[in-house]
Amino acid sequence: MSDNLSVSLDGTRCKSYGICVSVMPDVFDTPPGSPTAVLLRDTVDADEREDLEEAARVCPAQAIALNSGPRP
Amino acid sequence: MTGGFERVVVVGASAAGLSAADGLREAGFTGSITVLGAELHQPYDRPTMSKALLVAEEDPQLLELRSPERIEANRLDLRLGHAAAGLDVDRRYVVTTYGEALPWDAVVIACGSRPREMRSLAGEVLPALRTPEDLRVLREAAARYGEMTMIGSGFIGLEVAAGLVARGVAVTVLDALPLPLEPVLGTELATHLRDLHTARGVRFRSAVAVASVTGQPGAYEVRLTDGSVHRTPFVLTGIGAEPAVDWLAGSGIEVTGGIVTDAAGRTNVPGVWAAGDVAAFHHPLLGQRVRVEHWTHAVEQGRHIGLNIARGETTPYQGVPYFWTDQYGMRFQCYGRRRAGDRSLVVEGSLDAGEFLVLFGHAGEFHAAFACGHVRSLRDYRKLLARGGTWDEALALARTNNPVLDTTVSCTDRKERTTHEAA
Repeated sequence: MSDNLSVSLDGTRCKSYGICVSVMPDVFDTPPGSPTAVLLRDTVDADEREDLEEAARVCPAQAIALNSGPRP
Repeated sequence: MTGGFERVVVVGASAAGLSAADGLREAGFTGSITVLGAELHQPYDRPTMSKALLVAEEDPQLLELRSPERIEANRLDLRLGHAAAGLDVDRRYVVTTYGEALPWDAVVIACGSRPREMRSLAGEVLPALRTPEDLRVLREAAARYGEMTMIGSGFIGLEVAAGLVARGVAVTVLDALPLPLEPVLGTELATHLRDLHTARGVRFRSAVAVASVTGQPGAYEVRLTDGSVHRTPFVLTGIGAEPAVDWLAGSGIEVTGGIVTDAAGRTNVPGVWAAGDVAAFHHPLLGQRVRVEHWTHAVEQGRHIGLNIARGETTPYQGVPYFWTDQYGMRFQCYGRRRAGDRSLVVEGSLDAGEFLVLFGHAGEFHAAFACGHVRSLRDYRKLLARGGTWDEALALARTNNPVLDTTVSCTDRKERTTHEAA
């Protein structure tokens, strides 16, 4: 298990609900006028894992994925 | 996993039920999981129906809640179109509407709720919005009549009103409450929300109840308790939802305003758990038994119960309630739950500016944070609510974000003051 987690956002599923932003405002943002949320960074530290997992679970569009280890 | 614990039946294939199945697998449960879904659709994202799909120009496409690949990877025996018809707690079977008897070692009841019914005098159930079929009927009616009446002004009703007005439909909202959502939002915010609607042409007839409805699509007459008659081509009811518990009659499961569970999600019958908005559970943060009808709650509590079952634990669930609602392109988000008598304080932005963060609390307790915009700040209040933080801690947090905050000013004062300034 790597210390770093990478996060990806599926732009085709994302409906810009923005729940992820209220859970992790440092990782997700919903810019005005953007049809989807955007990632402010695509890796998070191990101590942010719990919040990131929650953000992924509570996304109604199920558009957030977590990947352990370095990005391919 | 201890021997003899191999079969879990999940009743309900939406947010809570599928999340319970996820939780079971996440915690290492390797036995069978059968998920009963009353509807024939693949599990879909329900929140979007009263939001984006209502106003979509093209034919709405339901969004899958789980991909078939993920359902397969989790080894779920998902049975669509199969509802639970009964529960035998002695012989441990769930009986389905197909007459099957499914044996279980644990059951998660996550069958959700259904719209509270209102009938016309002729006995017809008046339209509501819960399923994709309801959505189709509503979209067709809006296009055909260009005019409709919403009975009830909860979140669904207001979202529908906002969506339809944006499409040029003339909308009247009838409600017994003086202000929409007042118990949830308090007087100031409820007034603000109503004003947003009236400014865009929604007509409210508040503080008046519906006595009877006659007619059919195309020509309804709604008789009100003040004696007046309201004519409309189409009505949509949004008067709350009731837990889907009829099938449990005589089962021995305790039902009082929902399936009664403890904080861990256990019912009065060993092995039977309940999750999501069918359950009335004791919430440690709220200090009372509640039925939380929010989407993220169904997801998080459902998973929590799955984890508890698989691990043989009875950990209480204490996630902070959260809801969001979309109206006129604005998104309102709330963590926690306002209680009657709470004071409200604007700590960021202002109601007039249309972006704000409001705190609710009473007697030193901090109960809720409600925001339009200011999402980044919400996170800190959410953390504070999760650990049972006090009003003073909430104010201290507010001051770090806004050092010149005047904490003596409520929503009302602030609104009046800006009005005076404007005058």
